[in-house]
Parts: sequence; C-alpha cells; structure tokens
Amino acid sequence: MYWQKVLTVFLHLDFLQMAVAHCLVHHIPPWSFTLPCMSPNETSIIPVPSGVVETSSCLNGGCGMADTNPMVGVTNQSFLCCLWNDININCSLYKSSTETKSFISTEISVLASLHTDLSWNTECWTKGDLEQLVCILKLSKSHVNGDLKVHLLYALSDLLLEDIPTSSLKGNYMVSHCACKEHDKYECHIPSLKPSYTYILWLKITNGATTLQSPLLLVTPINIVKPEPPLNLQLEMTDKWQVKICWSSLVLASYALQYEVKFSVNSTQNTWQVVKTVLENSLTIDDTLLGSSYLVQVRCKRLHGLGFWSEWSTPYSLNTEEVMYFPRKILTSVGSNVSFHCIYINKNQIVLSKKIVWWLNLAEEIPESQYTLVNDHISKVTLFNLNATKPRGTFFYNALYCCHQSRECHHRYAELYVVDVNINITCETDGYLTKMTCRWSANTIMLLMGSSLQLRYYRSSIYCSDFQSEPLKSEVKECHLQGNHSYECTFQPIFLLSGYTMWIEIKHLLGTLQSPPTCVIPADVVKPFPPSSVKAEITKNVGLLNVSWTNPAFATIELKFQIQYAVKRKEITWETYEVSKAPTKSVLIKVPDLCVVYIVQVRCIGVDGVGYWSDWSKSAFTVVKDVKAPLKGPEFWRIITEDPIKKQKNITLFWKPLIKNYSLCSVSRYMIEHRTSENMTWSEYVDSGTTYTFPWTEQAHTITILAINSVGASLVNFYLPLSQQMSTVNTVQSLAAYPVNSSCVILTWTLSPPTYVIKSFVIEWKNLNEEEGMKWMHLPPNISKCYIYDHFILIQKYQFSLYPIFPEGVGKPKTTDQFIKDESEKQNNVGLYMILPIVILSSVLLLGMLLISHQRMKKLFWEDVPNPKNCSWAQGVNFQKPETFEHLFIKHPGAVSFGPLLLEPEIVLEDISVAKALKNEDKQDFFAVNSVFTKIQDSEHDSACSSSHFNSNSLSGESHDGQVKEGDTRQSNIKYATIISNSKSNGLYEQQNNLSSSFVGCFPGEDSLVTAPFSSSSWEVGNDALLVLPDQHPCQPSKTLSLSRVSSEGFSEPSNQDDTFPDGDSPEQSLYYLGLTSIKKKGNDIFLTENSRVMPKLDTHDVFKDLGFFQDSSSNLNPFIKNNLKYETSVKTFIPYMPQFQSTSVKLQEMTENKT
Amino acid sequence: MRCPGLPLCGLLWLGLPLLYGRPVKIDKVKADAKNLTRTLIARIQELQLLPVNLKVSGLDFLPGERPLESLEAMDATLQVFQRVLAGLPLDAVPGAQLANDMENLRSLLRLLGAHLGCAPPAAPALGNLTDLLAEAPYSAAAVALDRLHKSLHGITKHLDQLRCC
Repeated sequence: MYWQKVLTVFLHLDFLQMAVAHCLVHHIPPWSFTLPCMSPNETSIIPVPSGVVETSSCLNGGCGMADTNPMVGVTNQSFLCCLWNDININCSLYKSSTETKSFISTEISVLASLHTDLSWNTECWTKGDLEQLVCILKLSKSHVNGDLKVHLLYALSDLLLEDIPTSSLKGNYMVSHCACKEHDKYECHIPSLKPSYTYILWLKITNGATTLQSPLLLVTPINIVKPEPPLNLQLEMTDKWQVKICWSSLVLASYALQYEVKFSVNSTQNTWQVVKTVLENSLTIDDTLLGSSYLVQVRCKRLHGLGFWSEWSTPYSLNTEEVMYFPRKILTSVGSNVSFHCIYINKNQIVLSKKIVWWLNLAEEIPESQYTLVNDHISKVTLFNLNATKPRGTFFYNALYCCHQSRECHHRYAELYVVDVNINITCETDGYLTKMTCRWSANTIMLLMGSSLQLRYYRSSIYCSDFQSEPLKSEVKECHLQGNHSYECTFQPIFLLSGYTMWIEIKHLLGTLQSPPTCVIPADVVKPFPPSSVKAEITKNVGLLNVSWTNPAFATIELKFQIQYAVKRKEITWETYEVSKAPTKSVLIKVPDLCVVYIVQVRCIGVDGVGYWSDWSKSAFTVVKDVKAPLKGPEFWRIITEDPIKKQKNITLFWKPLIKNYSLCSVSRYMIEHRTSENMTWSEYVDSGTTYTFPWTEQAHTITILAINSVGASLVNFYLPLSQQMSTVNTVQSLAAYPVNSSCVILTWTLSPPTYVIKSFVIEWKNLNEEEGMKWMHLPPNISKCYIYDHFILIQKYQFSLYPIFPEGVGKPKTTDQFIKDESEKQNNVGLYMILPIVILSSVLLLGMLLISHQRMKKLFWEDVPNPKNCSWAQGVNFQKPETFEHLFIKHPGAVSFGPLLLEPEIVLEDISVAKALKNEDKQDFFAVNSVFTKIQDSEHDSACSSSHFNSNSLSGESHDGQVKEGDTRQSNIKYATIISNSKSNGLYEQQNNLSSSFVGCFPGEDSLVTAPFSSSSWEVGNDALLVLPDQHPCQPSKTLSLSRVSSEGFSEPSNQDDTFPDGDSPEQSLYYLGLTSIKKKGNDIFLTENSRVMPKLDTHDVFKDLGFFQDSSSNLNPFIKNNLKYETSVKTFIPYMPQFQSTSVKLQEMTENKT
Repeated sequence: MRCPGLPLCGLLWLGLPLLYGRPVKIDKVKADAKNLTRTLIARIQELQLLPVNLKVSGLDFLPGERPLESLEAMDATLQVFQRVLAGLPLDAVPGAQLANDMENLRSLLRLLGAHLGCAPPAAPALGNLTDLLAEAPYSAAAVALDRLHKSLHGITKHLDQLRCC
C-alpha cells in the first residue's frame, strides 16, 4: 500500500513529464531488446553511480537479456534508463538537471543484481508496406499479478533528440492500445506511419493502480523495416535458355531489397543451406536440379541501411512438375507472335527435346516447322499471327500441350490468352473549342475477366507525331463508364492543335496489353454549334426560298452549310441543299410551290469536311403571302336566263376559284370588265363568291374577269364575247357521247365546213335525273374529241352540250342526251365469240360419244340375248334379225316404252326406285311399272323381266334425282330383287328430302361402302312389298345377305362385293336380296313389311337359316331389325328376288314353284 | 524589315518539322495559326471585359503597343502575355484555355519560323510580375487582354504577308 501512495505522488508530480524531461532516449535497434520498467518505490534504494562513462557494448552473450533483470534506478532528482539486448547495454543516468551519465556494462551488471519490477522482451519493426509500426512485447518476468493494461505512447519528431525540449512532449503524444495476444504477449501498432520521420515512444503499463513507465525510445521506422516474405516462387527461363527460380515481393519501390535463397536436399531433415544472397528476384539454377527433391526458400531484407530479414517464403519443390512450361501463361494481343518453352520430365528423366511435339487444345498438332530445339531438353514452339481466343465455356484461353512424340501428353498445359485489343477511340471537340470528349468501347476486352482498362495518352506540342512508341511521359486519363461497356473521357482545357496520342492499356494479372495508339488533334474533330437565327421566306416577285442564318460562335474556320427544307405537312419529306462557298450566311433556293409553308433547318461543318456536322439548327418557317400578281384570271362561263316579265336576258357568270399556283398565293377580289359593242367599258368587283349576274341589253357584250391580290391584277385573262347574232350560228354538226366507265365519258364531235373562226369550245353536261348543277369546261378549238372525267351513273340520263366560242360571240350549241353504247356491246360480244366455239366443240364431242355408246350397246345387246322361254317380252321376237332397239321393246305389250339396257348383268348395282311421280311423265312411268308388277304376280312372269323393268324405271328415277348408285364398275355377281309395289299407293314418293336419315343400319357389314343417301321417311306411307331373297344355295352360307338401301327411289347395292366375293360369273357366287314389305319407320333406319299383299312361297327355314347368318354378321344392326329377323313370325312376307339373265334365277324360281 | 538569308542556326530549326514525322505544309501552318488567332480573339471577347479607352500608365511591361513585325517579336509578345495571364485572376477554364491556345500559337509560329529558317526566338527577360499584377488586378487584366487582342489582330495581319523571319 505504501508504494501505491508513492505512485500516486509520482503521478501527481507528473512523473511522465519528469521522466521524459530527464531520460536519455534510446534508439530502437532492428532486433529484439529488453525494456525495463520500474516501480517508483524502489528507485530510492538504488545507488547512483558517479562519473560519466561512455557507452560500451557487451560481448555477445555477455549481457543476457532474457534472464537478467536490468535495474533501473531513479531518484526523485535522478533517472536511470537502460536499454539492452543481445549486443549491448545502454544505460544512462539523469539528474534533474540535464546532466546525463552513461554506464558501462560492468556497472550495470552491478546494478543488475538489484531488484527491479518488470522487464519486457521487445521487438519493434516496420511493416513492409511502411504503413505501420508494430511492437511485440513479451513479459520476461513479472512481479505484478493481475491484468496489465499496456499502452504505447508516441510522438513524432524529426529533430535530434538532444535538441528536444522534453517538456514539449507533454500533451503532444498519441496513445496506441496494445492488444494482449497471449498471456504475456502484447502487440502495439502505430498506424499511418511516416517512414522517414523520427518517433519517440515509450510504454505505459498499468496494473491496477500501479503505473509503470518504460524509458523513452527513439525510432526511425525506415530503419527497422521487416519486409513481407517473397511470394510466387516459380521456375522461369532465362534469355540464355537457363532455368531460374523467380519470386515476387510485395514491397514498394521506395527501397531496394536483397534476397537470401536456401536449398534443402531433403525437407524432412531440415538441412537447409544458404546458397546465395542475390539482389534480383531470381536465381539461375542448374538444370540437374530439375526433377530433384530439392526445396527452395527465399527471404528478403532492405538492401541499404538497417532492417529485419523477412520470414522465409513457403518452400518450393523443384520436382513438383513433370512438365514445365516457360512461361506457363501468356497474355498477348491479336496478330502477335508468341513462344513457349517446355521441359518434359518423364519418370525423373528429362525427355529429349527432339522427341517433343506440341499440341493445341488437345486437338490440333502444331506443325514441326514451328518448333525450335533450344538444347537437348528444352523445346520451343512459336505461334504466329494469333487470332483472338474464342471462349469455350468458362475457358478463355488456348491450352498448349508439350507432348511426347508417342502422342503421350501430360495433363499440364500452358495457357495462351489472345485478346483483341483493337479498340477504336473516337473524339469530339465541342463548339466552344474548350473540351474534347473521347469515347471508346471495350466489349471484346470484357471477355477476359479481371482486366482493368485505362486510357493513356501523351500530347505532342503541335500536331501529331509519327512516333509510335510510347513516350515516357504518358498520362492516365480518367474515364467514366457510360454503360454497355463504353467509356467517356473528357479533356478540358485542350490544346487545339496539339496531337493527343491515345491508347487503351489493359492490365491483367498475366500482363499488360495496349491497343494501337491513335492520334487526335482536337481542331480536327470539332463539332461546331449549329447556325443560329435561321430565317426563311419566299422572296417577293422572284419566288425563291431565301434562307439566312448567323454563323455559330467560335466558327473561326471556314464552314460549309447544309440546308434541309420541306413543305410543312404531316409527313415531311426533306430536300437538302449544300452551300460550300465561304463566307456564306444566306442562300436562295428554287422551290416548286410558292404558296405553302416551308420548314427549314441549317447545319454546318468545316469546309474541308474535317470534323463533324453540327446538329441541325432550330426550324424556321416561311409565311404564305402573295408573291406575285395572279398568273391568269379565272375561267368562267355563263348562264342566260330570260325574265319574261321584264323581257330581258340576265347573264349569270360563274367561275372556278383560282388555284394557288395561279393566284400566287391568294385572290383578294375579282374584277369583271364589261365592254360593249359601242366600246363602252366599265368594271365591277366581286369581293366574295364566284358568281356575278348582270342584264344583257347590248347586242354584243364582252366580259373579262381579272383576279386581284395584294401584288396586282392578273395579266392573262379569259374573256367571253356575247352576241345575240352569233348565238344562232351552228357549226357543230354532230355530237356523240361514249361512256368509257363510270368516271369517264368520251365526247366526239364534227364540225361543219369552217365559216367562222372558232376561238374555243365549252362543254356543258348535267345529269337530267338529278337536280345537280351543270358542269362545264373550256376546250381548245383544234380538237374534236375530249375525255370528261366525272362521276357518271350510266343508267341515268345525261345531257352534253358543245358550245363553239367565236371571237364574235358564243355560237349555237349542239346537244346530246344519250350515250352511244356500241363500244360496250362490242366488248360484250367478245365473250360470246370465245364461248361459242367451245359450245360447238363440246356438242361435237358429245355426239361422238353418243354414237360410240350406241354402237357399244348394240353389240352388247346382241351378245347377251335373253332366253325367250323365260322372258315373256322376248317371246316372238326374232333376235336373229333385229331391226331396232325400239322394235325389240315394242314387241312386248307389257313392256315399258322406256328401257335402257344394262350393260353387263354381273356388274350392275342398282337402286330400285319406287317413286311418286311429281310430274306427268314420271307418273306415267310409274304407272307403267305398277302394271308390269301386277303382271308379275298374276302371271308369274319371270323376275328377270320385271326386275329389268324396274331397273329401267329406277334408272329413270336416277335420271331425275341423280341419287341412284350403280356399282357398274365392280365385277361382283349381284342380282336384283323385285319390288312388289302397291298399285294403289299414292304416297310412294311422299318425300325426297331428309336424305340423311337413310338405311345405313340395314347393312350387316361394317365395311360396307354403300352409302345411305335416301330418306327412310319416304317409306313411311308406302305399303310396298319388298322381299330380299337369300341365296338358296346351301354351299354359300357365308355369303353376305345385305339389306339393300331402300328408299323412295330404290335400292342401293353394297359396294364391298369385291371383298366378299371373288370375281367371276359363277352362279353360286350370286348375292340375293330379300325384300321386306310393309316397311314402317320406327325412328330407325330399317323397314319391315306388315301388310304385305304377297306372301312369299319360300321355305322360311331356309330363309332364316341365312338370316341367322345375317344376324351373326351384323351385330351392329338396329335392335329393331334384329328382333324382326330373329323370330320367324316377325317376317310375314318374302318376295323372291330373281336374277336376270342367270341360270341361278331359273333354279331359284323353280325351287320356289316347287315349294309352293 | 530585316530578312536574313538562311542562318546556320535556322538549319537546326529545319529539323523541327521532321520531328513530327509527316511534313506539314506551310500554308496549313499559316491557316491554322490564323484560325487559332481568331479563336483567341473570340475567347477574349467572350470574357466580356470592357474595352480600354484610356491610356493606363504603370503597365509598361505589357507589350502590344508596337506593331509586330517579325516572328520573333510575335513569339516574345505571346510569351509575355502567357506569363501575365497566368498571374491574372481569370476564371479557371477560360484562363487555362487561353494559355493553352497561346502555347499552341507559339508552337505554330516556331514551326513557321522553322520552315522559313529563322533563328529560334530568345526568351524575353521579365522580372517578378506577381507583385505588379497584384497591385491592380483589374487594370492589369483589362489592359493585358486589350493589348493581347490588338496583338492578335496584328499577328493575323502579319501572317498574311509573312515571307521571311
């Protein structure tokens, strides 16, 4: 507790000030040293030696620092400061006066036996970047328990210490807190170091209430620099093809370094051997070491002055790589040539260079002509005129492989980065000639990540230099990224006529590239300001577009100008006009239209075309105003009206308003000049409107109308002579109007032999059907035909009048009120002329075809003669000597008068129509059919004949409706059934519509090609007896029994016979039909007979035997028909279907007769 | 006007165009010099200092009162004005731009002299101008710009007739 009080007293006495004031400051050496700190309560017991002794050094080891506690003795008036290390001890004694005494080590050793408080093993150094001073304090012995708070206090001084009034340090020092790194190790920092300045520093240690103080220390940071250890050890190739180990250092260029390299044969034994101290950052090594197990380490130290050695670098093994590339990576620009070297060590044996081949990207072998054998084990390859590397995925380089000639390659490769550095720099000087803005884009460069770009330039005093090499004094220009990889740099102020040589420097870890330099003279890239005060007008009387402007500011060079002008409207079409005469500030331009508003802009550029066009000036507009007097007066015409009350003629003049091209540009009023036959003249004005009426009292009266604007009256004017006498003169003989189309009519006229001179003509026309006004037009006298363009309605009546105008007056008009249509009729006949030959030709062809078919039918008829025994109508007919077809059919009294023959009985598919005739002819035919049918039943006519008749009738129906299908192209063997019709039926042909609901469901086969074009409803009211007779032949159970499509018009045959039956004429292959009578529509597509008038004399068993087959093969049939076909009782009537012209039909008929 | 033939030292000047690689036609140099002179005049007018209508004493070190009859005199005059303008409190951008233009103009005149085989001009002896200019900066600025304006007109006129040094 006592010493604490003393300490308090010390503090109160401003111990620090006293200590600083009395202590000699010690230089911090570039090695570790021990620093004492003392407790004030012990200072009184320390004897103060007398005498002043020069400082002496201890011998090595003589002055232990770690295990020797130095003693610092102080009194209130005197102060002993010691600093010692492994080299010497330096102690000084101070008194309250400035007298200082130093002790020799022997004296100190005496003192050392005395007790002291603390000693610190201290090492201070400056970091390699000279930014920071670091002190590491290690407590060598402590009598103080508890946590210590250590502060490093320092002050900056560049004066000699002896000159320092130590009292001046009071309050001028800075404090750095020392962080405790370990239990007894503290680390202090002095940031923002000034390496060449001198610092005074001391330690202040606080242990609870006790504060200890170190002696003052003096340090110049540059003298205790401890660099960072070297980095990036690697092997490289020297210019003399020797391998060297290189490294890099993170030091500033402010001080030079020396290096120490050591090798170790075996890292495990830690037998390092320093080979050499070098000043460069590389050391050539013997090739024999390559591939060995040697390790290399390097350290560095300041070359001049004091300082620490850095730590040793990370060991580098010389045998880490089996293939060594020199260099391993190259960054170069497009078009350049590069070389790589390679040493290939295969299984600790260096491959001979002549056995080395080079490959690019593992895909392309480099020609041997590009190899160079540097020595026995170094191969070199040179690549010429390189193209830019195309990125392949994430690989932005070409991989170069050094391989054995046996095509064996190590996986290591050298990397070749080829970058397109052709960056275009464009510059533009502003109109004030004070600023030049340069822009460049770096899209291609961005491919190589990690590149930094900067624009460098140097300036020639005047113009551009042709020196392409970069001068030493190039500068970096700050550029700003504008987006989309484009940069913008601004030079301001500028030297207008100096050459700025610029290029882009591309920095990358692999190297630095430069774009080709470009030289720009600001005066050559000026973009001037646009001309100002642009004015535009149409000149009066001259009628030219006059554009004037003021030259831009700072336009010290001669300029040429470009004027663009256009009529102001929605879609502007610019015309340009260039003026290169200098000096120029206005221009006259000929323009086509003087009475429109023009919009005008002007821009400029240097007269020699150097630089840029300025922006366009602000737009100037012309004002439409009268340029000249009207070019001519208006055309006019008159209407003569008679006032029966006053008995006078009134003349109304009307004229067309002048277009702007004639009025130039407006008409303020019209002047009507009158001149009578008595040479009386007077004028009247019309300010508004285009009509004027006056009474016509004179025999002759000449009217002239003048147009007047602000400039004057029209000089060329129309005049119209009016004469009572001339109005009866008729010189137009004829007038004809030919309509061309609805918008054009041609008028032609003929004149009688010339008696009068015709000045002009006037044509009037008007629509007589509508109350629209009369229209007119002037024509020259020397024509006899004109086109009138108007909207004509050709079906309406128009009146055309042609007035001859004589110098003496208006003659008698010729009028026509109709169109002559010869022309149009002729045009229509053209079509007729074309169609007529075609019709004739078609008729001839048709006739020919009929004749051919007639012959064919005749032949067929005689080849297939029916059996007269079985064919009633054929009885009595002499087939040996036929006369005509008609004769054949007439012979039979029951035959229908109409009956075309079937072409071939085997192939005929026919719908049998039972039609209700709507026409008389049809009825007759139908009745004929009925009569025949009745005879069939009564007299048992052979079915062939009846079916034949029905077929005929069906064909007749087909000819009417076109709905009968015939399978005439098939060679199937299909027979026809008879249709038993109710002779009294009056509703057979009730309906021919609704063709969609037809008999599709009647057909057993799904593949049936027979369509169903007929309406089932047509059977609704019919009591027809229809029987489809199945084939009785027992050997044909598989034959399909198809219900023919039944309609009001007849059957339609299944068309898939080809699939079912083979071709041929065998009667066993015939297909027969069953007809079901009394068919009713039940909402289905099947009809069954109920009230048949004819009972079939058939064996129903046989029938249903086949029907059973029918059922099996028609699972998709309507259930209704299934039910009806399933049970015997459901079928009441069967009508045998007899084949015609076939023996089968005979058998069937006979069989049927036998059964009945 | 004195027009020496081709002094020996002028041969050295002949090398100046060669330094710039491509040969520069003397007409282009003249045209550029005239354009630059006009630009300088325009810049002085942009500064909008009132014209000096009085005779101001105490600024005798400023040239421009005598006509410029030689390239050497032109260069010397421009050199003085360069130093004067550097000491005047002009706005940064116009002042620097004026100085740059005058530097360019001097280079052109030297190039012209090299074409004509003239001896390199000697640097005029000038004392410390700072104090002189600081005494009355407005007067110095107004008079300096006024005289420079006149000198530039004189240079323009003389360039048209320039045949020798």
